[in-house]
Amino acid sequence: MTRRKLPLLLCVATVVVAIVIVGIAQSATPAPAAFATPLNNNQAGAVSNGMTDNATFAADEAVFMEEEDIGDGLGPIYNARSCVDCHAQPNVGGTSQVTELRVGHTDGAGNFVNPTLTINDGATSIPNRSLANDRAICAQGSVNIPGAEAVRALRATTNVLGDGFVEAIDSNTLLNIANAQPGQSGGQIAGTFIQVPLSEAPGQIRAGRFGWKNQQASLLSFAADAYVNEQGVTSRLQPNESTTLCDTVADPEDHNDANGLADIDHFARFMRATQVPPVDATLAATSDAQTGASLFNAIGCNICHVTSITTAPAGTVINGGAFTVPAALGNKIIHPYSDFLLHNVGTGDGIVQNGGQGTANQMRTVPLWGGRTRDRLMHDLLTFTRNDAILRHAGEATGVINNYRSLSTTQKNQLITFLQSL
Amino acid sequence: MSRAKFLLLIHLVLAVAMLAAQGCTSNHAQSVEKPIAAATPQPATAASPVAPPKLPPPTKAQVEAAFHRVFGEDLVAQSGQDSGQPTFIVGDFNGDQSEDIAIIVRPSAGKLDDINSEFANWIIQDADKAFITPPGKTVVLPPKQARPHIESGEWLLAIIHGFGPEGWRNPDARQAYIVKHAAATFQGTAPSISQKAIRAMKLPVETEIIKEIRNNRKGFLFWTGGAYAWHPEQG
Repeated sequence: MTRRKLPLLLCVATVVVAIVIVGIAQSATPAPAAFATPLNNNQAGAVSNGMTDNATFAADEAVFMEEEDIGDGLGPIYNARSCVDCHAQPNVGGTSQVTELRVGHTDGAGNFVNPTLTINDGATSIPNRSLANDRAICAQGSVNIPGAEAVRALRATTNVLGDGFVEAIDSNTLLNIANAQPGQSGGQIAGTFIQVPLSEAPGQIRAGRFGWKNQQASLLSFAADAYVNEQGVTSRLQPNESTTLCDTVADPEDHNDANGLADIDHFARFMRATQVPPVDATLAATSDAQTGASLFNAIGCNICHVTSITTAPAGTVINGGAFTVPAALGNKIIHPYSDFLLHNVGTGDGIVQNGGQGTANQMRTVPLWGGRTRDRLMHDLLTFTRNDAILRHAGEATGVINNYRSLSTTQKNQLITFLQSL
Repeated sequence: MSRAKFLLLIHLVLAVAMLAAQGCTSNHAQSVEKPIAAATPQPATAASPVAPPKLPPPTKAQVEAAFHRVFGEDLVAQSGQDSGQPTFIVGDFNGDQSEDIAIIVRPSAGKLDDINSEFANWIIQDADKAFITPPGKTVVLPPKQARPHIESGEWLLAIIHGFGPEGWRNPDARQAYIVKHAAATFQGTAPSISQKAIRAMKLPVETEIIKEIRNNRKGFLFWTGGAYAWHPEQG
């Protein structure tokens, strides 16, 4: 090599190395996955996804596990005293066997109408509320469902583990998934993309992604909504009780602590810092599960149960300006097996929340990650085998499920083995 | 400047530029999620039920074609000549605005293993054990039931759910239920809302029920939203 060629070679090498370094820095990496929120009252074993340090994560988890009482603002009507009462399987933040009941009726035009529930022997009305709570802090508070409310639906507890990454998905990513589905399915599948208000950013909307009807777009909104509706605790974002009967605590009942954070802030930060549900690595490595994964994609399950989504880059401002995607959540590859869109697959519950009347019989595609930890299946938990759960899909899913029906018994077994590895 | 010095200079400039780019990446330059027009993606605003299209009465050939498409040789349909009664009935049993068909059947000889297979293409359920949300209360824990098992010679009701305007005649209509304790003498269909007992149950969808006489008792079979259930008439 001549002396004249050496600088040129160095120059080229430098460029290549620099490009590689920049490429690595910008490429997406897998989200950390583990069941790392064991049900310990002292939060032993709690490990975050890196968004917060583990001590902070454990402290947030402790608030998530806190049992509220009347003095804390519990009720007047409620379903549970703590987040963990329902979000517990197999770790804090998971699912449970608990369902709740939503009710309402349809008008003459077939549109869903929220009911007016009654308490206090009919003397007190709670208007415009489809969620009928089961518990009350006083006998007069027990909810009665008027006979005219002819729509009734069970809803299972949803998993929140890994939801920080779900929140960090750019709304445009979800819209792009929705727009691609008709072309992927011969026009049979078309996910409904809805945008919903953000409690922490008044006037702003964003793609809904949490709840069975995609009724929430951010984890802080979700936390405040659940706190007031499931536990009856009002907060700065949800300052109004559904009823004041028997209520002795001034609103908002959720106060800031010494660090300036209310419970809803701790809940949101806990959910954001959880790791995604891990696969059963041993089962996933089997040839049956791997073949099943290929079949899952080949027959079209992945059109709705989307296998991989990359979150928005770190630094992206989301939630109407109220939250910036941190490094721990940004540019991460997740495998939720959901498109976070609404579909009519023949299992709709007739309830309308934020999405308009067209969503009455649509439900959010259930994320299948962590699905091996539950055996009561579908939104109403009324299906007990994976084969039956698959066969319950109809409507938009008809073509895909007919593909499933055409598989051999061995292939079906492989596909279900794959599902049991998630 | 000599050629060698010139190349060295370029080398240094490029190196500095790349390191700067790397630094920028590490600092996560802030961007904002691009807003999406509110009106663009909103779903249909009306849910007015569309009445199922009036379809012509089924022909024997259509019923046989649908039956074999879904159940193959695993089930045998009851012969109308044997019983002297209608052996199938049509209606929108699951309330999805698409016509369904229910056929009285028995397992074919030697096919019980296929019928009861964990991976069969139909859902087996027992009309006497369907779960109905108890009235009035919430936070319900549904029971976990054993999977029903079809026995040899057992009379059953095989139901094929329709798909689209063609209903059960559509070649893609293959969602099927095999229902125990539901095969009976058909007495016709009726709107579910016409039944006081159904109104009291507050089911999520309005459907057509199958009126039956089962074991000398009048009653009806209805869709709960996820399964078929039998309800005897009172009195």
